[in-house]
Amino acid sequence: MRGLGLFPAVFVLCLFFTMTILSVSAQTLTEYREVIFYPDGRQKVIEDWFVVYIEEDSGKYGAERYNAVITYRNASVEVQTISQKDNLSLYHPLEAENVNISIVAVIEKGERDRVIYNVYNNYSQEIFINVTMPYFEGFIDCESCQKDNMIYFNLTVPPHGSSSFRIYASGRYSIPDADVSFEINTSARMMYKVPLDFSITKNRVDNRWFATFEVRNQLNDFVNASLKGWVITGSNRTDLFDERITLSPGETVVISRDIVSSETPVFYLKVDGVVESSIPAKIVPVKSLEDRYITGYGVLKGFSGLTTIAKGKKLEVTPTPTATPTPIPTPTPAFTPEELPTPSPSPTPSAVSIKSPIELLPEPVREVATVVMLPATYVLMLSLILSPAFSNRGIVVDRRSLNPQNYRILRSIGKRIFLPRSTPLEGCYIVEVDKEIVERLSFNLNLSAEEAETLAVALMLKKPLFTTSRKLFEAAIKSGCVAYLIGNS
Amino acid sequence: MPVSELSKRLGSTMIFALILLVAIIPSSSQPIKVEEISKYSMEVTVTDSAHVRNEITLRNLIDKPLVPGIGEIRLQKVHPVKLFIFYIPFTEEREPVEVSEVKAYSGKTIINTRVEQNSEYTSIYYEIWHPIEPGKEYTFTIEFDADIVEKGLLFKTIKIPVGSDVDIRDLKIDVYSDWKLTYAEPKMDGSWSAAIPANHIAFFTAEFSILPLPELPVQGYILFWTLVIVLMVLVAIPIWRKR
Repeated sequence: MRGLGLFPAVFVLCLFFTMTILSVSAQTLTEYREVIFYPDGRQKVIEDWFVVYIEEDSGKYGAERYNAVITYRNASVEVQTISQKDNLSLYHPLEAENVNISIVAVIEKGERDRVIYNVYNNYSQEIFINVTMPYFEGFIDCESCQKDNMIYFNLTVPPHGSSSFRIYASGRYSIPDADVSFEINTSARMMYKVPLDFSITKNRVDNRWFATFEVRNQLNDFVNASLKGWVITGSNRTDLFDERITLSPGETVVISRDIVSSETPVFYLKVDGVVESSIPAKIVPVKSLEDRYITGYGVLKGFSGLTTIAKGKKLEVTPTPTATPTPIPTPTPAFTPEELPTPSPSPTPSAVSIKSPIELLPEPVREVATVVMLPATYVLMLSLILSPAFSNRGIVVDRRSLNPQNYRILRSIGKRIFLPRSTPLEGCYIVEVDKEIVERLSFNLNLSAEEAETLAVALMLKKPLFTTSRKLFEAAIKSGCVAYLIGNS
Repeated sequence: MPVSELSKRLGSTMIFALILLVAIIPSSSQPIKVEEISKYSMEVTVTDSAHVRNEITLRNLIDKPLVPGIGEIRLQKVHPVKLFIFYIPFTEEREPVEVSEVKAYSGKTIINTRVEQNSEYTSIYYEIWHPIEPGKEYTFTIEFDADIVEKGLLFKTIKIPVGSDVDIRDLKIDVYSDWKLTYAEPKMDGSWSAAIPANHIAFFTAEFSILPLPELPVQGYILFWTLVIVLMVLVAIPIWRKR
């Protein structure tokens, strides 16, 4: 019993406004990013979410816990009540955000191609990256690798630095998609309210009343406490103190006040304890498989290549690009052979410096493309000439290029107008194309999804493409597609 | 009201599709088995509607942690086209199912769900973003009330096809009702037990009656109304002969 005066304590009034806690050690957060790395340095994050794991408390606080808020990347989740034996996992979606890692492949052409994968780490921490790649036709050897039933590359990439691994291949080769695993350590903020032990002792000496307010932090964490005391005598309320203090683990704070009153006063104390802490978090990649997600692995997209140097020629090594992860190198429009007609090798190839690892179409194929600039008013004339040729075959039209004026003309050129599924139009044929091809075209040629889909239709059907978009037109030409650029006049 | 009842019983040929699709939409074929439902316990409490409680245990079959993602439970009624109170034989109509009180959870972890009603079926989507470690399992529960009971005056029937795009190793279905079980297909030994391969659907039909009938080899309503009609005919023939 405590007392400041002659009389023992009479009243101890407790008001519990406080909430409770979470054991910091029992919480972790994992962010999952479905990431696809492209070998030209770009990446695509499709799904992004985090899960907070709250595991069974070891009994650190011995009480139920309430109202915790975990904040991560401008998103937060709240937990109302957690009992000691709870195992919770709380999911929250996130806006897709790129990983600060990029992978750029460079091909050094020669008798055998040397493919150098440069991995750039733009984090301020060392990252361990494992790349697992299946064997593929044309594979000769690799550097910085382990060969088993798969090819493994284990890299340590220093903060804001890069590391690389190499593959040797020859002939026509197609490097398959590889798994990329890494883990990036980060942190999240957690805030929760905690109950604090407190007591009020009241003593009296004549008409002078002494009150001692005692608050103890019984936890092992620093607690930001808000202490508010007041007294009510009769119908009068008098505020005694309103303080915000930080209590160290185990610390006790004592506040004493006295008043003069002929009536018996009632002392009140409101205590709010808040703990703010950091919880460990990590970012891991995920990849989709059969409509599920495999955690811990992202995808490094493969590409196709062709050794084009004649035997006996001197191997010229392409300097490794000094590009840093940001800005990401501008991709060179290119395609993989599975998307396009098989290119024939250049007759007298020399060592080639290829910034993009993805194979370019050889010139002969490009020359197949027809370049026509057509003012809309001349399309009618053209239609008279081309109509017989196209009427049976049909044409592919960029939907955005269609307007009432040129629709009839284009209709007369190709009796069948083919459009991608995303841009249907009454009376036209809708063609569905493989999403992956669209995605690749979009990335490789820097086309919008709509443009890429239109081009994919033209390539798939092997039909001429009509568009008002110069960008799409040029992309189509580079792809070996017969394309017509329609003027806007 | 025998005609009304018979009409309703004809309606009991309705198929209440309750198809579990654990996969994210759209569902696709399964060349690689990445997960299975190692245990699937369904409890259906039949009143005027049905309260369905699915306890599902997913097992990760691969050597990497696996996140199930978004799953779907699809409910559908298939029945003959109805003209006034009559069902027209050899016709078919597909309908969504009224669903309410949907909740999904794993222990105290609440699982996000949403219900979408399409023109022909109702989908309950649930999200599991918790990775399942290699070889480990994750158990969760989905409960909901569904208007899948075909109820007449004397009989009520529930037909539940269950299927998934992954193997269901151990399926157990318990159906509870205050009425007496008169028919079960397949035969029920207190409950149904089955194993269903991926991309297959198994149908489970139970009929209950307010009448104290024993368990019958055919659906009770057919037997009952056949007997009623036969008796009516037997009564009608002497009367007709006397005239």
